Amino acid sequence: MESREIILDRLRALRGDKVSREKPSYTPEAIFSDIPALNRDALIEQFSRKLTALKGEVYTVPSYKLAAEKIAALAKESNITQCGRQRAPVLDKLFETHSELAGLESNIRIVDQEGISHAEVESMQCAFSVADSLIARTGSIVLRATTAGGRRLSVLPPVHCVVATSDQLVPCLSPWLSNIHADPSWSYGTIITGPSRTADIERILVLGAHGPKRLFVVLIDER
Amino acid sequence: MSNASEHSQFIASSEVRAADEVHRKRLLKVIASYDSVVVNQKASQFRDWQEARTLAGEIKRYVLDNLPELLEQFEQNALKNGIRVLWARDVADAHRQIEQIIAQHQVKKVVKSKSMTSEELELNEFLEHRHIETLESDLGELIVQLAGEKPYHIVTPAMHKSKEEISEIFQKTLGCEPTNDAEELTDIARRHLRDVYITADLGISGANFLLADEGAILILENEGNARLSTACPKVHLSIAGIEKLLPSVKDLELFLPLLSTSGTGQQMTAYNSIIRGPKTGAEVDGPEVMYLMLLDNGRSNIYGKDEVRDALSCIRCGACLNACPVYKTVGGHTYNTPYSGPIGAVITPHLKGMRDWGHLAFASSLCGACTDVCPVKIPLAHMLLTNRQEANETAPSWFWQSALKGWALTMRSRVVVDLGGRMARFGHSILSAVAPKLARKLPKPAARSFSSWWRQNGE
Amino acid sequence: MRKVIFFAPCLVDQLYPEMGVSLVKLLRHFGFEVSFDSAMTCCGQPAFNAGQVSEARSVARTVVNTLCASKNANSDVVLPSGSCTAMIRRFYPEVFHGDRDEKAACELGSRVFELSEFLTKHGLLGELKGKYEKKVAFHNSCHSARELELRTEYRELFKGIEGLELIDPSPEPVCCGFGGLFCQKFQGISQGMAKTRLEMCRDAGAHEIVSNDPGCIMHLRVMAKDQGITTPIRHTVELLADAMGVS
Repeated sequence: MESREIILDRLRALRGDKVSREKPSYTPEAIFSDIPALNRDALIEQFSRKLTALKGEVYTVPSYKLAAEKIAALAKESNITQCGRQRAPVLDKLFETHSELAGLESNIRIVDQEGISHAEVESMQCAFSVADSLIARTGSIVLRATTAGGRRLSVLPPVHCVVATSDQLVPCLSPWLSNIHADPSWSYGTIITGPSRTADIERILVLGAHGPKRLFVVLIDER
Repeated sequence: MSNASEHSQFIASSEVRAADEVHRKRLLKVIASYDSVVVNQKASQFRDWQEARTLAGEIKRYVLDNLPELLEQFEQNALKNGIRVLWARDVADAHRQIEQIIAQHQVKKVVKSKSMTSEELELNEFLEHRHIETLESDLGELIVQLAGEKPYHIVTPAMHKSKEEISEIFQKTLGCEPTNDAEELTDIARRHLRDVYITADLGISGANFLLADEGAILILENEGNARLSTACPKVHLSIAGIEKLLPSVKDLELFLPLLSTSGTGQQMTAYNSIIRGPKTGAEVDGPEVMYLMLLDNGRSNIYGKDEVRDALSCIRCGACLNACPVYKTVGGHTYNTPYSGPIGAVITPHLKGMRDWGHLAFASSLCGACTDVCPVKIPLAHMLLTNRQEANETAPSWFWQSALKGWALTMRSRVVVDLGGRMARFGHSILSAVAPKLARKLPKPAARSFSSWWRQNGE
Repeated sequence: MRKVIFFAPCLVDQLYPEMGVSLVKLLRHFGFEVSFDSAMTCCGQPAFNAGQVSEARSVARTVVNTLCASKNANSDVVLPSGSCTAMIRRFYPEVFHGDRDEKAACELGSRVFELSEFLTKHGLLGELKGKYEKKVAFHNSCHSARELELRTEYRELFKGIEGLELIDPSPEPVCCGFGGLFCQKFQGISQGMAKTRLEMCRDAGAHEIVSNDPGCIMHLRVMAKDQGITTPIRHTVELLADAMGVS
């Protein structure tokens, strides 16, 4: 007999008559005391506060133009010239139509078009991606390999910059978890809550263990 | 009680550790910093922590009640996602199947992210024996691997090492410059591992949760090494205990913050990744093949025993280790087995044999701190007690059985107790004359017992 | 006069009768008629915790029979020990499961009271008035806190004692390391735990340590002596009796 049958048969024999216990049902609101209200300002406030407390950097701007200016400024002050990004409407609009980013764009590697090598991703100083949603309760960014340029883009380079719009903010995880369940196209999704970190050495907090040391969110809030 | 070898090794090690003041103080300090953040985290995000853990416990019991069905559901969905699902009864079975993977994919180099199941399988030794270069990528695991040690704690493997000790280890094994700066030490590890991710043929991980309705695994971490170990190599193998199931991906809303709160005092860890298979056609990178090994290795022994079955609810947060005054006095190595602390003392005798490991259940004052902190409400202290009962049936200690039988006979009779008391008083006075130093160490019997006082002053 | 049975835990009977004496005097001060039945020697906990249930049952049966005897059957029982109270209330049902005395054993749980529970039940907390000028650390026994759920009730005992500064050596209960036979089977660990606990009390600035469990007191006293620590360690009831002038 295969191990599978041996294990399952054993479990069934040990368990005896199936206990018809119903799965407990619950809502996030019943469990958590810190779910933000469903208005744009409250969502932006909590998301920014939470992620900033974890040493992420959140820049809320009212337009694509100001977003472009912000990114250009950040790149300049950090001496970033080698970048990578994915194809996505928000990023395409930002990088292709704003002169502030012309310099970065001319040098940029597009991961999902060019069959990019590991070495090339490794050499990027900064990666730009979009996200599926921003989770306000915890200051988290959720994305998938299909929507955010792959598995490596958002974790290999030392700086990860997420460009998002404020209508992507949701109070908690459940909406995203329900949505991805129905979509068969992806194999990998991740919930990012701050830069990479470790406390393995005497519980001293160090940022940038293996993943990005810096996590930016440029949040375009057009009203 | 149990096999002399593991038991006496435990006693010997515990005596040394308990007397080591530096070790004891360091452990207390590290865990005190954990305690303070956990308390705040529980208060700040949960409406009622007690209700949250009760709910989480109920969901896990539901999983156990429906374990065979949920395993089948998980497998069905995982297969649909392109995951090759393997079932391993025990260590030998697991090794055999891993050997096939190695052969099929011509694996010469492995990168690992933290996996306690791989410790159960002694996987590093197994791979090194076959001349396969195996590197741990989790910083704590890397440190202990380079030091030639086993993990010290299921969540923080190098909790017992100081910065100075870590620097020495890195100097010796990686040939780097000495430094006492945690950032620099972390950077050394990061650079050391940088090209391992792409030169490794196989990435091996564990899984914090198996999602039955999704056919996916969840890996929770802070460093990013698990993301890299499962993104870069061409083949990914995840090894998970059969009990790691959650009914639905939607249960992550509760279980992710629950695990990170109890594990490290964080609201969420930096990365929580849902891996549903090898790369799809719509994705630019990722492994071409993904294996998921469902490991029994004694878990069905626990499943079959009512008294300890619910120990399979464990989400491996490490909170019971951090709460346990015994763990805080001796640390993880004394246990000499992958799962230490209260959960280890509960499950190890059932995974590896009561005869050899029953002593772990007795190495406890039954203070109940573990039961108090468990986020899925496993009555750990009570399970230690039932383990003791079982140990007495299957591998009794002749000495203690007789001693307690004699004690019970004495205690049933007031006359005998009083006589014993008089003898003890007499014995103590002799001892004080003959060996005063030893006599001072023992509690002195009272000049007269309470019952004697009562006879004079009672009515 | 209200009647109460005093149950002397084995350690109190043989090693620390003064704790029993203080408790009896305190109860008499509050107008209780105290009786003591010497047939009861021990609740059976040492054997139960060692996993030897039948030995525990044979000793516990004496307790059940004595407390169910007609002369005792209508009185409450008070104990100066959280662990013994917990043994009877929480674990006798398991000890006597399937036994002929199961029903009687299970009913005992509602008749036995740890000292602070007893004083609370009879509305006497407000009557604990006296003077005691000291910084006192309270070592709450694990069984009192976790099995009897008496996590903070001890604070009420000292509110009426003028000059007494009550200190919690830790936010949560921390085990002293006694654990019955554990301290014999795993001496090194047990001693390390006692050292940790005494350090907490010292770091909290205690001039005296009181506890609600004779086992904890015995264990901490042995380690204190070993470490040259002279901080007095005694039972809550001894301090209360002193402070109220009833000893």
